[in-house]
Amino acid sequence: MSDLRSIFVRLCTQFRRTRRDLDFSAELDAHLQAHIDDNLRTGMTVEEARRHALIKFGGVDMTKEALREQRSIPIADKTWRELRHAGARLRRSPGFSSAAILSLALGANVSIAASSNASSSIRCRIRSPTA
Amino acid sequence: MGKTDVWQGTLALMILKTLETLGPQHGYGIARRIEQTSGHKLLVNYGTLYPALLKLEQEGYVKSSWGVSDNNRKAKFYQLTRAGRKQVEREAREWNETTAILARFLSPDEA
Repeated sequence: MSDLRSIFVRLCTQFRRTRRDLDFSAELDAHLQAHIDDNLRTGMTVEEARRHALIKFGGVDMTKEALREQRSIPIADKTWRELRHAGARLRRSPGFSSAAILSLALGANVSIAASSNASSSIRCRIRSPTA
Repeated sequence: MGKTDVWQGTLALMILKTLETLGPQHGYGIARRIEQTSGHKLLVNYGTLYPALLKLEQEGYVKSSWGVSDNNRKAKFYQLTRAGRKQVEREAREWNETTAILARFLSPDEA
């Protein structure tokens, strides 16, 4: 049940990415600040306190990336990114895109017509002996 | 003995148990508490802590809201949900069973 809920939540947050990203950044900033405050209380200088907090935290960017992965469904994220990329490339060269789409449409049409023609002629031949 | 990273699969239970004991707490507070409770033998990796918190939230075991910390700073607080309380009980029971079984293997004389 919790797995289903998790997938549903992840699908929903797929569309609120910017807000969630800002939320993560604010949360990690708050974490670092809390650590710096603690370090200052132990008598460190501001510079030292900040440096120690950053070292203890490890990679902030790595954490953000791990959060992003947990937030979304990677395969849906990837597919969506690929589709957007493909769309952008098609828009960039409209001549080539329309030629490619047209030839694909023509090819599909020809094969559909050929197969429907073939199937109707075969049906005719099957029926003819009894007619 | 040096510090060890939190073992795979145990972090979620540690987080849930910490929230059950302390009530609403922010990520930094949870990490400090886990390290303190372990007698500073465990080291919480923040790159694992925050995704684990997010996973628990997605599963409905914790919920989060922004609030103000003791230092008068804005922080995101996590608290257990009703499903989370049940999950703590369930996971704690499973861990107790697992460790009891392992203990039998480690001291076969007592079996």
